Amino acid sequence: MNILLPKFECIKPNNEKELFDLMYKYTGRKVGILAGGTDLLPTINAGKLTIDYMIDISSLGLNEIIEKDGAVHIGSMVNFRQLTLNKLIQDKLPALLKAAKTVGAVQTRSLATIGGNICSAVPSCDSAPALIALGAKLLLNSSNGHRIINIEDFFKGPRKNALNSGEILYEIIIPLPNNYSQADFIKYGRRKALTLAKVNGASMLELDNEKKVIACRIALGAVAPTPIRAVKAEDFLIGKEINSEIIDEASKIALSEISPISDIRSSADYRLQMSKVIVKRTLSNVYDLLVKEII
Amino acid sequence: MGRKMVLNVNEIDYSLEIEDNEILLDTIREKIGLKGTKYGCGTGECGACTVLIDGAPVNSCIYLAIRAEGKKIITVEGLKNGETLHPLQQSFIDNAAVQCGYCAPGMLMSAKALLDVNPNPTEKEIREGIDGNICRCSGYVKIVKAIDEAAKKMANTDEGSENNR
Repeated sequence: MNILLPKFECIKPNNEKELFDLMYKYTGRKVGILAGGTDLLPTINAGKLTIDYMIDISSLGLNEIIEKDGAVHIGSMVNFRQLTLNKLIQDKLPALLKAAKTVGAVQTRSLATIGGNICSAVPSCDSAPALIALGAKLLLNSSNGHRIINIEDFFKGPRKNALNSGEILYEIIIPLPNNYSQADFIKYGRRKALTLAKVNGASMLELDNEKKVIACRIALGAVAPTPIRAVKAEDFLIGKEINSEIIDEASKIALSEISPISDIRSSADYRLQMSKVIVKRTLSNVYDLLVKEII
Repeated sequence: MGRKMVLNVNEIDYSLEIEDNEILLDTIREKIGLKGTKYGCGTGECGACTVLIDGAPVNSCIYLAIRAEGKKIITVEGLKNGETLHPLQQSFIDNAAVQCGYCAPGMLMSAKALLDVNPNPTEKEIREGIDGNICRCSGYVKIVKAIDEAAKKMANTDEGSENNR
């Protein structure tokens, strides 16, 4: 059995200059950026996308995870297998570790990159809620120089992102959590592996010495056109001491900020109910972790 | 008109001409002639085509062959040591962990990838290790048992460690 992909030319730039020269040269042409290929190749194979040129960005040195200036810098070409086996991610960013482990299956994670996951900008993107909760920023690069944006501003709609023509996602920058902050991630799908989320979500809390919330981020996925932050619920929690009533109230507020739809994976009503559960569970898990650490 | 390149499969170099849009699974089966790796879904969801690339389990049906240049590819044919089956293969036979057999090569490669990084997996970890491999006969219980037994044998015998390459 042969898998016949339509013809295209695959080009692998070896440095930044070659990359941006190619991007310029092929402006307005049908170009695909090849990261892990787990999304791109099946999409082409299914006839949903035709391209003439494929630019393979695997030789640009974007596959490192380093700690620098109080932040973890993850190259956009780091794959999820690399993430899950990385000591820094295991020790410092357990919420991201948890999210990375829910992406696809073992084989998918060997190829699929964090950059590709973000750039595909699907509402159910598994890395997004964890990264939003962790306050991640994205380094975007082009021949005109680079810019850094908050990850939540990157998602513009289903499969629509904020990349300008000629721009490439280079790096994901995550501030290291301090001793008074923690995050947690939960995904609900139809099954555990090889499934897109019905709902996914993450929460981050930072507490002061009196265990009052001084910073908070709540993110939900697959319940709006993009992964989103529940900012009203976050604002409600600031300055408060956490207990089950407060968490319950925050989860109710979060529901007013999402707009789930019914589709093949889930009904809107189920998504609404599960969003509430995810906000409650992630917040209470985070609080439990923090209180243990502070005591 | 393809590109001339060398692919290393099961520690043998093959000089090949490869098209840009060629899928590694086709290269392995049709050009190199190793038919152990199976075509299942063609979309990276069933795991029948799993091979190891530099030690990582990969669905070869969604992998461009040109990307494999300079990498070490291991297929199910590369598991045995000479005429001796890999402990995982032997354990699949001993436990009758094969019904129709179509998923077995992929299962074996995922199991090998798991044991390479986690030689003493729990049952949960074994199930997670084969979470990208679908068995249409639903023979998972025996497959999990076979992997568990192989891991224990490999931990206890010299033969195991020799074969665990």
